[in-house]
Amino acid sequence: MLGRGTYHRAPMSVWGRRDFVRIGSASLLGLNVWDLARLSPVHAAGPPKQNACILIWLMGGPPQQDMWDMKPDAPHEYRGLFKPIPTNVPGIQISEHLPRTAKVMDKFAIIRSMTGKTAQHEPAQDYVLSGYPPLASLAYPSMGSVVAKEKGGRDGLPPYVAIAKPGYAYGPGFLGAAYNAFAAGDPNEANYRVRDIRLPTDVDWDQASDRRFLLKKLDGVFLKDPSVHNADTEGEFAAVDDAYVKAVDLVSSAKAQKAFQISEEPNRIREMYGRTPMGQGCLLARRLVEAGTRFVTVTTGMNVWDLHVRNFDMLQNDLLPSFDMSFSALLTDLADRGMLDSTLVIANGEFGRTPKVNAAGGRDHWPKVWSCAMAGAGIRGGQIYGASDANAGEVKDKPVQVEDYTATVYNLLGIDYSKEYETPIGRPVRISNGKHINLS
Amino acid sequence: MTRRHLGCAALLACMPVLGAGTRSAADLRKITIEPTAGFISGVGGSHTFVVSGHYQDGFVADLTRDAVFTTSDPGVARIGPRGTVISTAEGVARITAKSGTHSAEAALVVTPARPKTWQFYSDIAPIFSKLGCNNNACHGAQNGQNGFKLSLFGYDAPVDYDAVVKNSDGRRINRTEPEKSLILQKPSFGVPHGGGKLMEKNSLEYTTMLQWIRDGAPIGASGGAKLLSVQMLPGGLRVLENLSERQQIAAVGTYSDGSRVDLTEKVRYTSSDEVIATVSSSGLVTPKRNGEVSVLIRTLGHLDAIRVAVAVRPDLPVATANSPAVRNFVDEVVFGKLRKLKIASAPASTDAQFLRRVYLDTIGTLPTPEESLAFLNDADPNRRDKLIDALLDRPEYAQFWALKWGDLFMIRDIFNMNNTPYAHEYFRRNFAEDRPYTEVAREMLTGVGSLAEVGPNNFYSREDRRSTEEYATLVSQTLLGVSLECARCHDHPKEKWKRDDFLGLAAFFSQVKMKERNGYRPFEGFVVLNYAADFKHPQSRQVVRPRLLDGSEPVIGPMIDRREVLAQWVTAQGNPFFARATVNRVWKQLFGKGIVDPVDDFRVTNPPSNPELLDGLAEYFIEHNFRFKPLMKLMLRSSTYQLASASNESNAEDSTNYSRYYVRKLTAEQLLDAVGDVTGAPERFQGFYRGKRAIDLPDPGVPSYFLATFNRPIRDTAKCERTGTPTITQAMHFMNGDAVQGKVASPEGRLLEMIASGATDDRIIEHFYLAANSRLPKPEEVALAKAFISKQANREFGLQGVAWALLNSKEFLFNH
Repeated sequence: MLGRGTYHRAPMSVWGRRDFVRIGSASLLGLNVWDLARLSPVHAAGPPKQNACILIWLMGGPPQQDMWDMKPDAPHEYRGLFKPIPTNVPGIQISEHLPRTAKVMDKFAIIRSMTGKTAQHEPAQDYVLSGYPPLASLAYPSMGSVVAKEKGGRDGLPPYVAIAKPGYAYGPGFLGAAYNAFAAGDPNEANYRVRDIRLPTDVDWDQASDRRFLLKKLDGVFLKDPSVHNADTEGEFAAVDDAYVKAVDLVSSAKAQKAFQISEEPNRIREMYGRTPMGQGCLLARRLVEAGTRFVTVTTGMNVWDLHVRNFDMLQNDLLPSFDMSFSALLTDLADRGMLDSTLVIANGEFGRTPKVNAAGGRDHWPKVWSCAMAGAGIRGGQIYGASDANAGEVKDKPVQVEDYTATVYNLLGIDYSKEYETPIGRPVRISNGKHINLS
Repeated sequence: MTRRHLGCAALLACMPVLGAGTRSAADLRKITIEPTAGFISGVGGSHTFVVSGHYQDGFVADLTRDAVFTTSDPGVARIGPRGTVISTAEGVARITAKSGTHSAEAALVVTPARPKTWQFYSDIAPIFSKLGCNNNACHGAQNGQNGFKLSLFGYDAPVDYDAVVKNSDGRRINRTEPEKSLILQKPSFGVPHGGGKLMEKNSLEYTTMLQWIRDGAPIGASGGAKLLSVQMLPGGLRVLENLSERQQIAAVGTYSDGSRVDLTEKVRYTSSDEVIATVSSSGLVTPKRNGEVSVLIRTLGHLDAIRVAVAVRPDLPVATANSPAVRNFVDEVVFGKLRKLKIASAPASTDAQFLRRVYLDTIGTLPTPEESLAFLNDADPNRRDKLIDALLDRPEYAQFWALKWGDLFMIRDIFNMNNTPYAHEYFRRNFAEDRPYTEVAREMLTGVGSLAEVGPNNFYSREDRRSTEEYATLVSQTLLGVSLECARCHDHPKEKWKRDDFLGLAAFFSQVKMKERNGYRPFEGFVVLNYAADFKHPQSRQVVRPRLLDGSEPVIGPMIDRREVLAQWVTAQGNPFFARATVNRVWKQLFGKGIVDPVDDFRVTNPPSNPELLDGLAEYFIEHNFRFKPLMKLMLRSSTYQLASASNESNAEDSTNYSRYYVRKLTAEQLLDAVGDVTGAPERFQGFYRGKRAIDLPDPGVPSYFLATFNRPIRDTAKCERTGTPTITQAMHFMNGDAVQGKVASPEGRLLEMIASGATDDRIIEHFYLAANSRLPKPEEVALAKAFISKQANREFGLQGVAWALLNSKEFLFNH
C-alpha cells in the first residue's frame, strides 16, 4: 500500500557527519573507532529516567506448578516431582529448583492467575506478545513495536531489540516495518557481535566513507534522469536514505556499539548471570536498556519450554538452573545499579501446562491458568497476585486476561493504552483492550 | 505538512480562478434534473432536486445553486432555497429548472399525508445516525458514554429502543413533561452534554423526537413499510474545478410499499477525507484542495457512496504526437479520467526503463546483460509486445506468480507435514498452464483429503483447526475481495454486511472437519466431511442456514457438499465479486495500487477509483475464461503500464489514477536473486540444489537472514503486504553485510572472473551497469567510477567499490 507522505523532513546528510571527520582523523593517528570508544567516558552515573522493559520470553509455555505456583498438597500425579522451598518473603514459596530466585523474592511479584483462550503455540504467542488474538485479516503489533513507536530509542540505539531468537510474533503488524525488532543474535556465542554492525573486515572506515561518497554521486545522476525525475512522490527514496542514516548512526555510535559489546562486561558479572544464552541475553538486555533501548525480548530457543516429554528432567537439569541464575542476577544487578525502578522485567510464556502429568512424564498445553513473574517499574516486590485452584487447573481468584496483562505492562511503562491506532483499512485499534491491574 | 502539501497550497494560492469559469453558458449542451419524479407525503415536506449542466466538451457540473426553479402550480408546491421544493397541497406540479436557454423538467407528486405517529424504528432511530450519536467515538463505543450505550451506527434498533426508553429506569424519556426528556435536553444542550450541541430546538430532529415522546414513544408498527434502499444523486464521478464550486447531493429512499421518499435531510453525510472536501448535513459538498473523496450517506443500516474529485488545475495542453498513444481500452478509461481531472500523464517510458521494469513485474528476475543488449538493439517496432509474450512463457513467470499466490493463501509448513512443495507446485503449474482461475478456485474450495500431498487442499491448512467462521473470512477475503471480519461480531460499521451474512457464509463450511493422523509423517492433516453437520449460531445455538453474500439461501440436499454450491456461486460468470477481486489483485501487482484499495476491502463505502476500468477488466477476464495470461498481456501492453515514473506538477499528488508508473522497492526475493545475478555469486539455500532461486522457494520456512530482513511475508495472514518501510537492519545488511560485499568480492563471482580474464575497467563497468540496471552506463558515470577507482588502494578493490555502490544505489534497489 502506498503510504501517506510521512517522510517530510529532509534526511540528515549521511555524508556530512562530524563523527566521520573525527573518525577519519583518528584513523590517521593510528587509532580505530574501538579505541575511541574506550577513550570516551564510561556510562554516566545514574540510570536513565525513562521506563524500559525486558521480557524474558519462556517460549513454549512454562509449567506454573513446577516453578511459581507449587501445589504440595495435590495428588502426586498433579503436583509432580518438585517440592516448594521458602523464599526471603515469609509465606511465599516457589520451586526448589529456583533457589537463587527465592532469595530475591522481595524484588518481584508473581501473578498466579493469568488466563488465556488458545492452546496452540502460534496464536497463543501472538496473543500474549500483542494482547490480541491473531486474525487472518489483520496483523497486530507486538508490545515491543508499540513501545518503540510510542517511545523511540536514544543515542542511535534501536528502541526494540530481540536477543537470541527473534520470532515472527515479535513483529510490528500493521504499524509497519520501521517498528520491527532489531535482531541482536546470541550474546553467549564466542566472539559475539551484532550482525553487520561493523564494517566488513576487508573494508575500513575511510574506504567505506569513500564508497558512500561515490554512491551519493551515482544516485545523484540517477535522480536527475528525466524518466525518473521526482518519481518518489511518497518519499520512498528518502526513506531508504533515512534507514541508512539510522544505520550509520548505529554503526558509528560509539555508545551503541559499546552497549552491544558484551565482552566489555567484567568476567565476574558475566559469570553471575551464567554463561548461557539466557544469562548472557539478560546481561546484554541490561546493557541495552542502560544505553537507550526501550524494549528487549530474550528468547533462548524455539519452544524450548514446551515440555510434553520429560518435563522434570529438562527443567531440573537444563532450563531452571539457567533461568534461576539469569533472572536473579538480572534483578540483583538492576537493583544494584538503581535501575530497577525504571526497568520492568517480565518472565512469561504463552500459556501454562496441564495439571496432570502425562504418560511421557511431561505436561501438555494449558491456557486456563498460568503464572507470570514481574518486577521493577514500581511493582511492589514480594507479592502474589491472584490464585489458582488446588491443582493449578483453574483460576480461583482475580483472573488476569491477556489483554489485562498487556494493559498492565503499558501502564507500568507510562503508555496510555486507551490510545487508538488506525489500521490500513481505517479500523480503530486500541493499544490494549484490557484494564491494567495494580501491582504497586 | 508534507513538502508536497506545502507546494500544492502555494500552487493554489497563486492560481487564477479557472474551471467552470472557463466554460460559459454558451458551452452548455443541455441540463438535466434528478430525480425526474419526486414524491412528498403531506404538506410542508420538502424535496431536493439536483441540476446538472452537460457541456460540449463532455464536462458535467452541478448547477443546483445557479439554476432558476419554477413551479407550474404554487398551490401544490412552492420553490424553497437551494434546489428544494416545498409541498403546499396534495396534487401534481411540474418543476422546471432553467439555466440560460436550457431547461429541464421534473414531476412532483404530493401524496396524502401518512398518519403521522412517529415510530422509533423508522423515524427516531435514523436521527441517532444523522446526528452522529451512535458512532464509535461516542455512544456507539464499546461501553457507550456516561452510561448511555447505543449500538454502533445503529445496527441493532431494538437494543437502542431499550437504551433510550427503558434503561436507567426510563429517565431519558419524560412522558409527563416531554420537553424535559434527557434525550432531548442533552443533544440540544439544555443540560451539559459531553458531545456538545447537536441540534437546535426548532430543528426537524428535535421536533420529531418531541412529538414522538408526546405520542407515547411507540416502538414501531411491525407492518410498516421498510426502507429497501437509498440512492445518491447524481451518480458517477463529479469533478469540481474551482474552489468556489459546490456539488449538491440528493438522497432518495425506496420503501417496501413502493414509495420513494426524499431523504436528503435525513441521512448522515460523511466525507472520506475532510482535507480534500467537506460535506454539510444537507448534502452540499465544498472542495478544499485537490484530490478525490468518497462521499458517503448512511441511514438505518443503508449505505451509498459517490466519488467527488477536486481538480483545481490549469487546462491541459492539447494532445501532441508525443503523448502516450491509446493502445487499448485500459488507456481509454485511464486517460479519459485523467483528462477529466486535468492531470497530465508522464511521458512514455524509455526502452531501458520499460525493459527492467517488465522483467521484474512479470518474472521477478533481472534481464541478463545479453538479454538487455538484445532488446535495446532490436529495431523491431513491436519489440515491446514480443518481449511481453516471451516473458509470460518463461518458467520464472510461473515461479514468481506462484510465490505471490503462496503468500495470498498462506502456504507454509506448520506441522512438519512437508506439504508446501505440493501446494507450491500446484500454483506453479496453474500459472504455467494458464489454467482458468475458476477451476482453481473450485478445486481449492472443495478440497477433501490429505493436506500434505494434495496441493489445493492447503486452502484448509491452518495451524489451529480453526473454527468454521474463519473459513468465511478466508474465502471472502482471498477469493471475493471482501473483508467480512468486522461482521463477525456486529453488523459491519462501514458496509452493508450484517452479522447474518457472515454467519450464513460460515454455514457453507459446517461439514468440514480437520483430522490428523500420525503416520509415516510426524503429522498429517486431512480435510474430512461430515455431511450431517450443521453450523450453530454462537450465541443462540440455532442452526444457521447457508447464505450467499447476495442474501439468497440456496436449498441444499442432504448428502451434498455445501462447498460445491458455494464454489458454483463464486465461479459463476455473474458473480459480482470474484472476477473483480481477482483482476484487481493482478492490477495491484503490476501497477502498484489496486483500483480498489486495499485489495481485499471491496465495499460500497470504498468505491473503485475507476469503476469503468475495473468492470472492463473483469469483463475481459471472464471473456477469456478467467485466464491470467490474456489479462496480463492486456495490462502490460497498455500505454498506461508503460508510462515513465517521473512526476510533473499536475500528477505529483496523484497516487490513485495511474498517471505514471509508481516506483516500488524490489521485493526480498527479487532483491536476493538480483544481487546474486549481478555478482555471479547466487545464494545457496539449505536443503535445495545449487541454482535454486529465491522466487522459487516453496515457503517462508526456508532459512534466510536476507529474506527475513527484507520482509519476506511469513504467511500468517492473507494480507500480502510485503514492502513496508526500509529498516536499519536492511541498511546495515546492505552496507556491511556479506549480502553485497561478500558476493562482490567472492572468488567465484563475476568481478574476479572478469579481472582474471583481462577485461578492461570500461568493459567491467559496462557489464555491471547492464547487469544491475539493464542499460549502458553514461559517460558521466564511467568518469565518476574511474575517478573513484584511481583513489583506491588497488584496482581490484576499486572495482569492488564500484560494484558495491551500484548495488546500494536507488536505481538498483527500486523498480521504476
